[in-house]
Amino acid sequence: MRNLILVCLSLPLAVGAQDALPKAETILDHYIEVTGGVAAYQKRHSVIEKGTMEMVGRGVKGSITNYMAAPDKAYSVIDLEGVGQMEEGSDGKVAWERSALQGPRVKDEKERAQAFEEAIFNAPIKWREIYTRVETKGSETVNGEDCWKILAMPKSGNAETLFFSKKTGLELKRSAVQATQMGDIPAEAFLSDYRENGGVLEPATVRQKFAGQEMVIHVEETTINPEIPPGRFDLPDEIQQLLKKAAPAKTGANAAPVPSGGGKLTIYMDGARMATETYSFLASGGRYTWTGSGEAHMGPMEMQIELYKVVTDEKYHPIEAELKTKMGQITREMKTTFADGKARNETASPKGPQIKEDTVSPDAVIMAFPLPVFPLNVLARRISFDTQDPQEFHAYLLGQREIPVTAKYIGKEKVEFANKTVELRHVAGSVEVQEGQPLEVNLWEDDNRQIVKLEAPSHHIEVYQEGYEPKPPPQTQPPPPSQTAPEAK
Amino acid sequence: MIRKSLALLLLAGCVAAAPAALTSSEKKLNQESFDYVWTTIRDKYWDPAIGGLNWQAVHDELKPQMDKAETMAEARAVLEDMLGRLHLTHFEIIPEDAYSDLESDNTPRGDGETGLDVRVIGHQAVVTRVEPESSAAREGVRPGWEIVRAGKSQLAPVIAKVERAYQDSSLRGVMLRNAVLVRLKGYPGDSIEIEFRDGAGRQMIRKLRLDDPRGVLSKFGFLPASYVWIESQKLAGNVGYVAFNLFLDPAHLMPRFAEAVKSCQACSGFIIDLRGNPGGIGAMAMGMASWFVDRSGERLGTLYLRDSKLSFVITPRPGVFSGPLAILVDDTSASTSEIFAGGLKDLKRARIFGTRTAAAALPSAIEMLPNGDGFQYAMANYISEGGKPLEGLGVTPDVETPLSRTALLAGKDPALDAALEWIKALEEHAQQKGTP
Repeated sequence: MRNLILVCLSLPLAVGAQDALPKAETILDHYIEVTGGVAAYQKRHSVIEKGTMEMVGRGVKGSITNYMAAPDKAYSVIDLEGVGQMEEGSDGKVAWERSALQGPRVKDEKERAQAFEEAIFNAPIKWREIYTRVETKGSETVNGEDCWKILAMPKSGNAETLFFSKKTGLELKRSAVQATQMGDIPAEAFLSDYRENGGVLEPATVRQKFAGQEMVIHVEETTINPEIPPGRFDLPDEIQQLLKKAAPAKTGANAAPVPSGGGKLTIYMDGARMATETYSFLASGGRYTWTGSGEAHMGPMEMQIELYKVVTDEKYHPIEAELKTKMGQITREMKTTFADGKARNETASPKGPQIKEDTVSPDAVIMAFPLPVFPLNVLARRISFDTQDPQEFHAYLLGQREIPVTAKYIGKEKVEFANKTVELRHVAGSVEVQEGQPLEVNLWEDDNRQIVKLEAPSHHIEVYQEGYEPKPPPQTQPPPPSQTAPEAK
Repeated sequence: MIRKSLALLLLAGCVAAAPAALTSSEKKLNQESFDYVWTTIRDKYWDPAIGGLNWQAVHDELKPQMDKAETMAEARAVLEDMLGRLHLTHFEIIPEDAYSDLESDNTPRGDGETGLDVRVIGHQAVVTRVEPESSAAREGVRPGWEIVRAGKSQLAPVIAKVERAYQDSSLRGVMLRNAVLVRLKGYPGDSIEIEFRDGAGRQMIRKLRLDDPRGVLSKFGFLPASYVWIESQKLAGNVGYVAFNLFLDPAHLMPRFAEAVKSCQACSGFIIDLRGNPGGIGAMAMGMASWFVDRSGERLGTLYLRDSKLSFVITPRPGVFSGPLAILVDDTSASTSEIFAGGLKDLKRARIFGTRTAAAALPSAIEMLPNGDGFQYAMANYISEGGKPLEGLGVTPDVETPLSRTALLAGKDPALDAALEWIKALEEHAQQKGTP
């Protein structure tokens, strides 16, 4: 009884506390108002900023110039004493970097998404385009000033935490895990010294902290709607050369060894359709990425695979994986990174991220059990057709443990489907998902190393690639009339 | 301005300063410097447990000593004691003098050079290279000659002292070389009398005019200004060759390096000589490696900070050189040189010739202390792509080619010769197989 009363007493308080937090949408819209309003932003079409930058305490200083133009073009050049120039650019299609230290490179994946987001002109009034979800998470003090803390999820890339002054409505801090060429780095940016530029208030000083370093950028001169020098946002020759070099692999031209692609798998159990999975495969920037989603109906239970992603290097060594499933009301979200023989699984939970580390071979194939099936394409790609001896692999059941897998290339076979007969490579495998109970699997793959058909006879499972429908079971022949109803005669 | 390298700084840190009583304000600055150094290690050392050291106890033990320090030498000794507890390279106090035109023994020395490079081989300072056109070359000095005396300084006791101090250290080679080189310096235009012993054991006394330092003066952060040079040439057998003294001044060095590689696309091999190169800006290792690695996503290694890890990722250039690559190293190749050579060895992209490197490879930063001294500290651990640290282990060559005085006197360079032989053998093998 006492517990019930306590629960009842606490309910209004909890609701009250929840009500005390203003909506994130309101805070972000308020920021637009206090910095000048939508109309003021919309009068700006291009900007040039000139300023200084300094690595605090390291004696490294330089100059910075930013060029930005609507809707999504950006170019910046930093000239550091003792180092030379470092340029970055983004035109909504390509994000790139060129530095005296490391030469030219084209950004991809998270880095590209991040660069595109940063290049959006008049970003504050476009926050609804940039973020898929915003949520007020509470209050926090930034440099002695009370702030609202907002969690913002961009369309792609890492979550950002934004801090807005309760008093002025101005953004004072932003923290996020920044994607860089060298890996993800937690970073904090402190914004201050707001100044009016063409009717819009903007921070003139940004103090960034990352990887144990502190960098201060101070904007000294801002020109609104200037004439941007012709060709300012054009791709440098070296970047164009890199894009040309990478183009064949992306388009599959010139018999690129690893063409990008994808597919759709339908999974049958006892001949009845049980699940479908759609997936894509991207070979880019020295990485292979399989991304997919799907749904399954297992008796009364429904399972949504909202996201399953595996990233490997070109040797198929796992780099990261991500899983998000929903079964009934239970949501499972897990991110895994692989390094130094360890899998670090971070599972979301109401109490915060739960970490589990497993020892994993660097070349392990990442699997999930029972679904999705499409990640087995990684294994399909790794099997050698040069031998018919059994081949041993390590597999890592995501978030669980490493298990052994044996596969043997049987040879090319003609496989009949509902509408065609195709010659495919047959591989027979065995995987010990449950200790002491090896699961026998047969798979057939095409010349693109993509699984076309898979079967696990002991579980009455068959899987078919879209376009390769299962052959209908042979119809039961009606018995000869003489045998069916002799009495009727 | 004194020509300073990272390794020279290490030497400067080991030479005692002339004692001078401190004022109360200088004492206060030293106390603030003590707190700065201690706090930096506490907050930024990559392992929050600081390798199991009781860091607070180190503070409590040494703070009273700093409070009592009456001279700069005593104050620096306390700081060096604190950093010494970590037993790692790249934790150093750089005396303020190193930023001025004085050596730490308060003897004015210029940047002038004799054109000689040296190594200590078997307790003897031996000339390993004579710069063409230098006064040493003009005076007929030859590789393989022993340097007995430089000016008034007899080298045998200097060498013996450094050998004793670094007898168990992988930095022994670095320190010995620097101990000799620093005594061959002076103001440009001045002369220095050097006593040599040639291959036959004859005493050869030469008065060498000190030339302007080689290279371009470069300043990066709180590193004392350094002269940076790069040389490239095409060796016999159509082999490209590049050597440079520091991984610094990328705006000047990287285009020259790029030109050397681009002009050698049809070469039968390429040699990068990192002997005597103590390192510099780590990121330059990635930029240089990108001329030789054609696969995206490859890494030289990984840097482990307290809150994140960063990979030394190689982004292939538009015109990668894909032929045989040899890297020459010795016990004076350190830091970024080791990151570069070790990573490319681990990736099986380069074959390493020479002797084991200095095993001093931790990414570091240099900050200015309140008392004006520089403070170098490693901010991360570094693991090469092969899974092992370079700190303490170094890079072991694929082909060991110890340097000998006999070889030098015979005009040979064992590491370079072995690398050329390897490239030649690969070329012959390819021709036999009919591949270009």
